[in-house]
Amino acid sequence: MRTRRVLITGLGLITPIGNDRAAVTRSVRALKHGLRRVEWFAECPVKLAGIPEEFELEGFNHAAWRWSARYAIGRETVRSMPPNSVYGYCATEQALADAGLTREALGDGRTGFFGASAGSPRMMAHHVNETAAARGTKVHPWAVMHSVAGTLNFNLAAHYGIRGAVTGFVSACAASGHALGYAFDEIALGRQDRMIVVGAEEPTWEMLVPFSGLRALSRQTEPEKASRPFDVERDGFVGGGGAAAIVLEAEDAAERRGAKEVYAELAGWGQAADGHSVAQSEPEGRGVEAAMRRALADAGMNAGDLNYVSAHATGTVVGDRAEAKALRRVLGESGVAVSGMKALTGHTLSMAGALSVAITSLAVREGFVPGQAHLREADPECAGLNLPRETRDGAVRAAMCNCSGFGGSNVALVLRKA
Amino acid sequence: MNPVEVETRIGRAREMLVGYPAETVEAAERFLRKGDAGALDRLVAGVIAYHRPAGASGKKDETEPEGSARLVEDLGFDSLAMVEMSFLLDELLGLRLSDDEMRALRTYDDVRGVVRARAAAA
Repeated sequence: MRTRRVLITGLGLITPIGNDRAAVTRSVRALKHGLRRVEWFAECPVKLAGIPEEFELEGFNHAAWRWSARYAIGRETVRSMPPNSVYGYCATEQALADAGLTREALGDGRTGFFGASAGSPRMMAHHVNETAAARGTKVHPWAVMHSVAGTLNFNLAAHYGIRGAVTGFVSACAASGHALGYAFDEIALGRQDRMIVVGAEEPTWEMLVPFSGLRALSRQTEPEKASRPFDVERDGFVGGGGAAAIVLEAEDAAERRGAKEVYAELAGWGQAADGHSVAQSEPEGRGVEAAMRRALADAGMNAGDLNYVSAHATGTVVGDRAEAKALRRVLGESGVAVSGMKALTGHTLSMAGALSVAITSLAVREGFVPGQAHLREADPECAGLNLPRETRDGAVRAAMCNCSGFGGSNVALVLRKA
Repeated sequence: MNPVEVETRIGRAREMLVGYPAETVEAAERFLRKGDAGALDRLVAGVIAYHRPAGASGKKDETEPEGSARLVEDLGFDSLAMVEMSFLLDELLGLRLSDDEMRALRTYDDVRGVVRARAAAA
């Protein structure tokens, strides 16, 4: 039985469109994208990616890595991390400072940590190749810790001395949506008072180029033409990465400690799978529709209560069409504004749900409705949605964030003004 | 080793020692080029200092320990710091230490001794 309201009391953002909430807000207000030209291989058709600035995490010697000067990471902390966890660490530091929490407060057993990351294909490939070259006689001490999907939660939960619920989520691009949903449950059900949820992903070629095998990536070389949710000429997604960290707290716990910032209430969530294909969206969007309806019911709200939906909308032909159909059925004639932030950030994979919720929290807190960037002509098959071309000032009393992942997992989360 | 091999190993050593004090990098280079035993000792001292965990205070003790100093009890090495240090020395000098040999390392002198014996042969 749910007994408590769940509030968003801290945000940390290391993203292609800015490395703090002020910079991200500016980018979303101006619809300024953060996609950069990359030249990983001359022959490789993937030429764009969303990569956070101020970080240089190339090579396999941690001592040569560089991160934003705002953060100090000691050798004994960074040595077991892949790039995704460095982004995750900086976002978490930012979120804790934003929430007014110190490391000492996190070991109370009433604080948990959920991570969402696909792991580090770069580190995995390196260590596997080195191990093979040595015919198994020599393995780097941190080979496993650098590589596997759980590394984000292993590294950060241990560093922060978390003694509550700790786990990781691997539902691909729905992963941080799931992490937020289950973190909401931990608090709402009274098991934990506070949850730190981090989605983090590294935009390396090893992570992103493999998606071109499924023909899921845009082949465009101009950012404005490449990442264009709902547009008739969209041709796939642009990969991205970084980290988004969100502090969720029970209302009573936040009040007790005098939390200084409340962005929004996380009012409920829902999930439903397509039961259709390992890689493609079910064409009618029945799974994402069910997830949205369950999320609204969970929050005790109707579609008409929403002012904004942050769509999953990666810019693939099939995925956007399926989600648009689902949105039309759920939103009806309500005229609720819809936009997809991946036009600006690229698709940050496991991090996408947390990034969407973080940006939407800023919209609720500051009163703006994010617009749809890179939309020249809406696809007739995505018709019937209110896709504002610009970000406008305006109160967002309630909003929904969608995310979907491989295997047809769909998650929807509902935010409400606190 | 022929001169090309020496330069290749020095290049790899420089990569592995990014973040180390210049004198440690210089010692590695001098040992690999000239087989200088004093340089090898300075390299081991630098590697021990680098891998020595910061204590509870968060501050590292930068003074060079006595040869009889015990890695775990006196210098605060945990099993992770031990394997990291052994892995680096292995990579740097081609020692090919077995797990049993690594576990037998108790003191600073033990490390210096095995490195002296094996690096000369490698």
